[in-house]
Amino acid sequence: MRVWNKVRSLFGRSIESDLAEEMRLHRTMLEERFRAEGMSLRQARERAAREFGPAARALEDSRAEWSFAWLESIWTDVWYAVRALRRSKIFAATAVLTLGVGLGLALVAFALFNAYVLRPFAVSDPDGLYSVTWRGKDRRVEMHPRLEFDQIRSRTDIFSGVFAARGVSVMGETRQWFGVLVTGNYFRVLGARIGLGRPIEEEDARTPGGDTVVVLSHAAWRAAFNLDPAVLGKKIMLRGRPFEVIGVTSQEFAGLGEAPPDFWTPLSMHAAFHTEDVRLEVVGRLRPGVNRAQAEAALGVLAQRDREDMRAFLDPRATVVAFTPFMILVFSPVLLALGLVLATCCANVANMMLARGLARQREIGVRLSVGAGRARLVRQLLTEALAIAGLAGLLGVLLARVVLDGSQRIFFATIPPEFAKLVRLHSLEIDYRVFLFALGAATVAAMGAALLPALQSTRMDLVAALRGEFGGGVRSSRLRDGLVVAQVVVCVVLLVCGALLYRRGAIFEARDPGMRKHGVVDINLSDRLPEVAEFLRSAPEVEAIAVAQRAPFYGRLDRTMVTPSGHASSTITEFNLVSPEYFQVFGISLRRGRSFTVEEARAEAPVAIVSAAAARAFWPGQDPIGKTLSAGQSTERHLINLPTGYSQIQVVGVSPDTIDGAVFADQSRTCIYLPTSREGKGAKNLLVLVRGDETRALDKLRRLIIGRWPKLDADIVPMSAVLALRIYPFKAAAWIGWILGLVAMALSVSGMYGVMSYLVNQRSKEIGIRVALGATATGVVTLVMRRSVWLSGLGVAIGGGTAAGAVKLLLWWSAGASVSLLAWDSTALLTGVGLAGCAAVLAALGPSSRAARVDPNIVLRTD
Amino acid sequence: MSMGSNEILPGTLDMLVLQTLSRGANHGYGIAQHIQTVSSDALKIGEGSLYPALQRLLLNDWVQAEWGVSENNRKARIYKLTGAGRKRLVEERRSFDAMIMAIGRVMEA
Repeated sequence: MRVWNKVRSLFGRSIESDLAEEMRLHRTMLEERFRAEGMSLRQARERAAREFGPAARALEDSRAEWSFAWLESIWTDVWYAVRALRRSKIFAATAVLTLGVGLGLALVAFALFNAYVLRPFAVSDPDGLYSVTWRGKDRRVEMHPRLEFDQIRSRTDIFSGVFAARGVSVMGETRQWFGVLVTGNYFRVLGARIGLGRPIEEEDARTPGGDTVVVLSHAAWRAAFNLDPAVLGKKIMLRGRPFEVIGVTSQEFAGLGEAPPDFWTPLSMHAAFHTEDVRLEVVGRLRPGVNRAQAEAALGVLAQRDREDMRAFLDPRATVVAFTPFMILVFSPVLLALGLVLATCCANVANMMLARGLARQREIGVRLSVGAGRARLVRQLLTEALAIAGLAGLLGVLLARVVLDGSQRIFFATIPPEFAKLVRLHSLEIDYRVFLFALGAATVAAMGAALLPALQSTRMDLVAALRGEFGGGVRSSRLRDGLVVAQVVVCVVLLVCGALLYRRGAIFEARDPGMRKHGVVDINLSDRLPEVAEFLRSAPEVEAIAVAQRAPFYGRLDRTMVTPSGHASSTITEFNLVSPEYFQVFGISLRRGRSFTVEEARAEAPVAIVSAAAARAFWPGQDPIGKTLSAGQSTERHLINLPTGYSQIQVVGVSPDTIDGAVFADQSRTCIYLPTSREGKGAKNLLVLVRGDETRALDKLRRLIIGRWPKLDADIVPMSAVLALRIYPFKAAAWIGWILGLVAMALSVSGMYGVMSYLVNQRSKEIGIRVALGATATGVVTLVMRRSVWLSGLGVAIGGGTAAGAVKLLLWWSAGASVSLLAWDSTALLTGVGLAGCAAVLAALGPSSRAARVDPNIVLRTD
Repeated sequence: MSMGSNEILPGTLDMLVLQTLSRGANHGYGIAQHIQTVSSDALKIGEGSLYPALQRLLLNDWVQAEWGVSENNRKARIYKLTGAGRKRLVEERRSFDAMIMAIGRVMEA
């Protein structure tokens, strides 16, 4: 109530003029009374002035009742805070750094969350946009046939505008291009801003096959045309046809997809890109006054035309990822983990502040005894914390900026360049939402860190304080010790994880796949495979060409059920269909037997080459050549049945074990190779062994193919890039593991520092007595170090046990899976434990040397 | 808040003002005069303390103020007790009585 009245007074009629007027009238009334008592005018005026007292003072005092006195004294508090922090620079720096790191990490996560979930697309009124889907019991329809789009579009009673779009991928001469085919009203309905030229309009999308215009994205304009404004009117080749550039979108608008597209072109051109019937994403803008439920009900009729159980749904299309409870659930582990990091940071700073509060007991005691209110002192301490949080918030924003920029740069610099060309990211800028979040988080963090210490250090016995007995009322807390132990535990676990991941990554990188890693290019084709193979055979860059159903390194091969001869039951094995040249192209020399003959390949004859592991598993100790495998039939979904021609398969050769499936797969997995040729049904990939430099050969092949078949739907990727991309997550995980470990280490160092400082301050009198009685500096240091060694030892022991147990548990849990992300690694374990232990003990060195400098003359003087 | 020479028991000024207003709306001058007259000039209230007190009461919604006309047709700001103010008066009166009695007992012991 009071505050409200105060706030209202700021906007209402001026209190001051009211008051001044009122006082003037009061004085007049006094004068009149004295005149009535018979005084002269002058006498009456003087008397009235005397009775009234100094008017200015009265005015001032009255105004003070209304003013935000606390607001004004905040400046005093801030001034005190700055002065106090400047006096103890190390404390301030440690606290700012600790909170800053925690806030920085939280901000990075929030910036990601913001870019994909919170930040709406740069279109007018994004909240009015909904995509139309049908959902039934076991089916969802997100892409609609053209006819359905026309029907939805005709519901002008529901939507003020409906457009359709569909993605398309085009192989350019130097890179892959991603585009969107859109209806003519796309840009108008969205209200998306155009940076240069004009958008696609209705007239551009009228003539099927004749509307060869294109709008570029700002990013593509930069990447392909170096922001040259003369791009308008230029022609770019898409699927062998020239398209005229009519516009470039503004920098803010990057489409409605998960990845920003490179270009937009009219949907009437779809025949140039797709052979099949086109299916469309349908997005509408709801008419004002129509709500979502009404629209869904109205569209229900359309949804049910196909199937009885289908319902219409409108999904918000304002952000990349709709902000739903499900999304919060998906993000919650990350947010939780970062929240924990932030909470640990706060706890650390709280510890430091407790220590500081204790060291400042004298100052606080003196202030309390000269009459400062406790509330005022608490507020002063909180202001100090806010000053720290403000600096930490700034540091956090800077840190987040650096981490986001740096990690994107590192990401693009370290993924294989062939894939770097494919990746498109939404911008991860620090906008006002991220900034507000930083502000809020910093404030909450400051309050969280400072409230308890402030309350505790101002709760003291005044009489004792006046006598100079400080700190008597503050109990040494198991909680604080527990906190430090917990931090060391977290630190150990994270460091062990980091070490483990790093060593795993290194192992995978160093692992020999047993086959050629460089110089093989994979060409994945949906049609015309025999023609392309024949065409490329004569190219000077081509050494050899193999055909395979699956190219290696893309992930686990398909699995099927076979019964090896001599076995009663069937067993599961991986398989691949390959041409005879496969082993030559990848430099695999067969251990035994022979490769497929050309005739076997052409006929897809029932012969097989088995991996050494398969030979060992199926016929241990026997010669596998001449043995047979009978193909089983299975209805299980994860198994693929072999084509009917392969019912009784004879083994003709044995290959060494290679890692041609998932790179982290167990090498002892069984695999069988069956023959196929370029005419074979299963032939999907051309594997080309190139001569000379891989990159140059790749560009040459690409140009050759585009020149010959401009409309061909093909992907050309070097196998080395695929392999590198496969290993990439392990490398990235290793780095992230290390970074987390280092952050955890920094936290436990600052935590240990805080608690040990607290300890030294709290026991300074005891230490003083010891020194006075002849204890040496070494003895005092030992006293403090013993405690920190005890605490960190406990933490390291629990942490090491936890990490070891977790690894064991995961190993046991994943024992059946062929994916082994973890392995028992005592080196990693010892590294983590050792680093954490050293860090924790080192952190106690500062406080302990302070303890060694305790001067009994000072600490004992007051008694 | 300064008290001036004609001392009022600390903390009782608010109660005195509220009590005065409980007999009817009045302006600042009127309130000061009333307290002085009723106390036979024993309690003199300087404006230096009256007006801050009135602002305090306004701020807490214990009184309301409006510009009006005094009994001798002068412009004046008229203060009126609110419901909350009436309650407040009862509370202050109760604790004041308790304190006076306590002091009395101590002095007579």
